[in-house]
Amino acid sequence: MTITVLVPGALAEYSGGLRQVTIPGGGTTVAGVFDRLAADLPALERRIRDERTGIRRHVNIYIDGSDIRTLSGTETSVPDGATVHIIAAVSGG
Amino acid sequence: MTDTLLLAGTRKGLLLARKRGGSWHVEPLALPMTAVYAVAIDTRRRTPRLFASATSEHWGPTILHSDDLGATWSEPDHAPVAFPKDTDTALARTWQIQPGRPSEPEVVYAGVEPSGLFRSEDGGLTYELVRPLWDHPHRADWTPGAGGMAVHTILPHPADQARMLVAMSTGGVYRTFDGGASWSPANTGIKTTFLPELYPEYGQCVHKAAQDAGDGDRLYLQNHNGVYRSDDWGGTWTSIADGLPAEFGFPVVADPRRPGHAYVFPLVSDGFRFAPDYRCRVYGTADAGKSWSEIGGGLPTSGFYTTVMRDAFTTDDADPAGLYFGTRSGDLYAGGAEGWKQMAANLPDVLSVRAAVLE
Repeated sequence: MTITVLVPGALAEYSGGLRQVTIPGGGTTVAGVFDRLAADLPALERRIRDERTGIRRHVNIYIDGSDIRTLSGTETSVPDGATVHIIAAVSGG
Repeated sequence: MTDTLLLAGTRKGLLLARKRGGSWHVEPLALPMTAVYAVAIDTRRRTPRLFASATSEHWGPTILHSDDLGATWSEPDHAPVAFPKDTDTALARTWQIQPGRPSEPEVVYAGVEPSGLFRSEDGGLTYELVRPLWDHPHRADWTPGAGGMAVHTILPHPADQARMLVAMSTGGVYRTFDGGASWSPANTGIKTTFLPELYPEYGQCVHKAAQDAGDGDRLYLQNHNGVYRSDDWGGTWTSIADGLPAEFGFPVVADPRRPGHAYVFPLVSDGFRFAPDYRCRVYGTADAGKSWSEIGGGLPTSGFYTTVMRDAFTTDDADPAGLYFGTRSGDLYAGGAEGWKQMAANLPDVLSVRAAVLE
């Protein structure tokens, strides 16, 4: 089984133009998803997490529609078949 | 006819301008929606390498480089500047990119927020933390100013490869005599107006420092309150504010070819951050700060309610040097003693400016 990561258009240049990236499932967490992205697509991953592996302040991550901040943050389990949605928060001027 | 290249980092992108045949051509904004706190032009290469520190509100900081004079910009897949894991620190942004000496052509330095110094040995593509400054016992006492807590000034000694001086807000000036292995504060004579002690060993809010063209040990410094010169490479600082309309300000720049020539952009005070009389004026000295005079005409003479940030004022490397500054209200000026001209207007607020003559 796999996990689908939806990439915002603003970051597609760091995913080879793909808006959707598939990674292996098999019982992982949000942190595990981004560790995998760090290995495969480091220029994408570093725009979502800082070097402490924290999710950047103005980036929101949803697992099947639920904000991980309302779940267990980066330790939230990501089941096989899930969709991880990366969305820019409302900020800036 | 000289060809001059200018980079202006703004709150929301990068502006590149070329002067050919005496007239400026300003290109469309690059790197939109990123705050470009630092730009650099590394003229040690046959084709200068350009740098831009770009921080996205959403997607974080990076450093891009261009080897085709800004036609394209690149960056490594992995973060060019990143704190090691054991520091438990994340980079906020890079405030300064400083090419090393001509004798070390692949060395480039980066000053960052939170206050740290990084060094590159691959021409500025990837950087490593300079640990001894990061581990300095004073670190716990350094505090952020309004804009953050960053190393914003990096001055490699022009003649001595073992010596380098940095400045940070707040914290003040620190220098090394052993290639970065150890660092000591160098703020004797620089006052503070926001601490109980008027002349502490460190903790000053130094806004910018600049290297004199002739004397490797002579420096100029714009402090939070005060303008200073050092003739012993930061060992002691002496006020050179007499003759200026005010001693507060952010930038100080030195002519890279003419000893004793330096420039500031005075603001009334810490508590009243406007140009005196709301007039836009650059002041310059030709005698290392013994006297000052207004430089050139053609700048707004009334109703000037904006300011010039610490890195938004620079010179090129011509002789005589051209001067350039940008304002927080998004105007960009070029000029000098012969007068000033507006190069661009209605930009996002200008954060950083660098210029160089192209051979």
